[in-house]
Amino acid sequence: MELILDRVTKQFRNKIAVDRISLRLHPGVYGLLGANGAGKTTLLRLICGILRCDSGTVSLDGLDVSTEEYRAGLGYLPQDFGYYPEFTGMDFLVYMATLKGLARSQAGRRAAELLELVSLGDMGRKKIKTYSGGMKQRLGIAQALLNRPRLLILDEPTAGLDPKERARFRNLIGEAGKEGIVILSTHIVSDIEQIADTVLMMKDGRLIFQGEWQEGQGDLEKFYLEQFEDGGLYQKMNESGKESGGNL
Amino acid sequence: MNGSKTRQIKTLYVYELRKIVCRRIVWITGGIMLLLCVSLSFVDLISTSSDFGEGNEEIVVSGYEMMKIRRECARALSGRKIDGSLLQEMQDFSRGEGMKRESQDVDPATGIVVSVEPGETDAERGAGAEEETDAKEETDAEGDGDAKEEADVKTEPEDIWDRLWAAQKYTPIRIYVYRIMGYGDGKTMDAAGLYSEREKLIAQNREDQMLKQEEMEYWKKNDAGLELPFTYEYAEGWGELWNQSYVVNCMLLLLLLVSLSNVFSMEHQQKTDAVILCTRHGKRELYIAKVLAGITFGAAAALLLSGITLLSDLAVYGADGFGGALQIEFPLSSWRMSVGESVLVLFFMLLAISAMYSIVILFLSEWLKKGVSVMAILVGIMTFTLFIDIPFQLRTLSQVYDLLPTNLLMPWGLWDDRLFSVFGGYLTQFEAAPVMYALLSAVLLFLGRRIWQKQQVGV
Repeated sequence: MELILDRVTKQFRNKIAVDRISLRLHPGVYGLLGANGAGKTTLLRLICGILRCDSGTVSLDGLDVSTEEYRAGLGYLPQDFGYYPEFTGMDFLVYMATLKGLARSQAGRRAAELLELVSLGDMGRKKIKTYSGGMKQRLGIAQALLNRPRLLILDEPTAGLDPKERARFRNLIGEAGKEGIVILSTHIVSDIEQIADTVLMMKDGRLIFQGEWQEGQGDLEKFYLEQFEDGGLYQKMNESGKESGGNL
Repeated sequence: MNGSKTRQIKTLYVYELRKIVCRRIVWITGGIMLLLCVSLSFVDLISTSSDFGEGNEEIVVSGYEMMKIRRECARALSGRKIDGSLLQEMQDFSRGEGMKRESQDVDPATGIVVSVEPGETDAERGAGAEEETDAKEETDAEGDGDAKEEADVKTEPEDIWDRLWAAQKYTPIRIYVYRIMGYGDGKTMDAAGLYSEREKLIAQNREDQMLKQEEMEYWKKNDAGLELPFTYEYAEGWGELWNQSYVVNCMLLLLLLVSLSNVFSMEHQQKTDAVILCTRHGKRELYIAKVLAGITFGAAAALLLSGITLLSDLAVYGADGFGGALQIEFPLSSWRMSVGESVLVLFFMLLAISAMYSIVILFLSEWLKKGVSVMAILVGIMTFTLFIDIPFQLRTLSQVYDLLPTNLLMPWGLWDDRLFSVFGGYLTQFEAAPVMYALLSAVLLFLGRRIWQKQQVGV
């Protein structure tokens, strides 16, 4: 299984949100780090196909991002997770499961299973508008997992979760990463440290670091902050980019 | 499309319907609209009262009581041909019993009896009343044995009901005559004069509508198939729906605006578009399900509003006369069908209009992404068409303008004889409208689908 991003670019008016990013990802958990406005969410939306690239391509095992087959293997939890207040948690999951192509009976079983998994089993019959922020976030995680995705995209998934829930969530992600590709975007460096096999760092729409992070390599947060200071990777890339005509 | 996808669409369709119906505002608006529909049938009966006096005695009855009396009189006349014999009977009755009791006229528009107080002058009563007075004097002078005998029986009725019933005996026919003749010669008209006056009015109407020679020929052939003299049938219950159709149409549009304007825009406003557009069936099948749910809701609303209105009409006026000639209720119409069949046409047109409304609202909902903007635009159009009319002189423009769903369902559409020439044949306004709606719907559905599928989240 391989997700290929080939010189993917997205520009909004005068701002280049994603600047010629190329990646080849294989099963595992990828932690995407970057400051606000670095282009993380835009990159994830491009991978999900809900934003169109201005140039470049995204494909999973040869399937273009615009195809139904690509979307069939995708699970996505957006940063601002939207829901239908009048639906119950169970209704919402069955509806989403249907959208993801699960048969009705299968959808019901899978929805019940996931509600238990995210500790919402007893809340499944209640309307979502009565849920707390953390519950809604867990419901969002559940919907992303409905179709056992080969490619799971999570944008700030641990926002609003308490420490216990975060621990449970990390286990979930770890399991998903064994069989598929999980890309996790967050500001919480410790989450990445504990879950991610590979760290991706973005700044100003560009990928400034891609590599594995082992325990012996030290503090990831410190490393992360260093990259944006003078002499860090970003500055080096810019200098190198200028010398080579800006085409890193 | 395979069976699995059809099943998915079906499931999604049920959910989309639930999304529409679950909103409290839809129930509140729907409830208000239904109440209005019911009240349409009753409001005249509550607000109107009719007086009937005898000498110095004055009897005041409610509009409902008067309607019941008229209904019974009309039922008694049902099945009779409106020919010379019936008209003569009516005139004899007016000269005899009716004149003795009280001179009265009937407002042709409302059918309400206009009482004439003793001592009121002929000048005050108008030209039509002059002839009536002359006839009365003539009758009084000459005397008519039979009529007097009958009048004697009727002048001592058992109760108010009988007295009113006696006076209103021929009112349904008088109203029919007045609809054609106005106040002028109604009391002395014979059958030939009546039908010739009707033809004259229709010819004038067609001239005003600037019909071409081919259209005239079309209607000439059509008119030849109408069976004269018309047979009177009491069909107020069915005919009333045509008079209420514009109001029902407006209520339908308002209900659909409240209910459907956020079917697509809600996904963008609640930010659910991000999760649904990246699902397997989020682009194609979901679009189909949403459109089907919207159209279904529109059709159900149309049937409910018009159905409740019709049921109220039938409850008040009775279900008689389904097979009666349309020309009894609407004398200038040239349609060769019964009044009941015309109501079925009205239902079909309302369904076509509801589909058109639904598709336009759904398209705007996706295009503008704001329910309020959709409402503002369509309420604006509705208001515009309410006040602005395009004259017949601008023939093509006015004809197309009158096909707009907000303009189509008017009672006078029944005598709008302008035709659309299509591939050598002719279509009436009510035949052309569904074709135009289907074509426009296809274009809007195509464009709406493109916008939905090309949707970019966060741009």
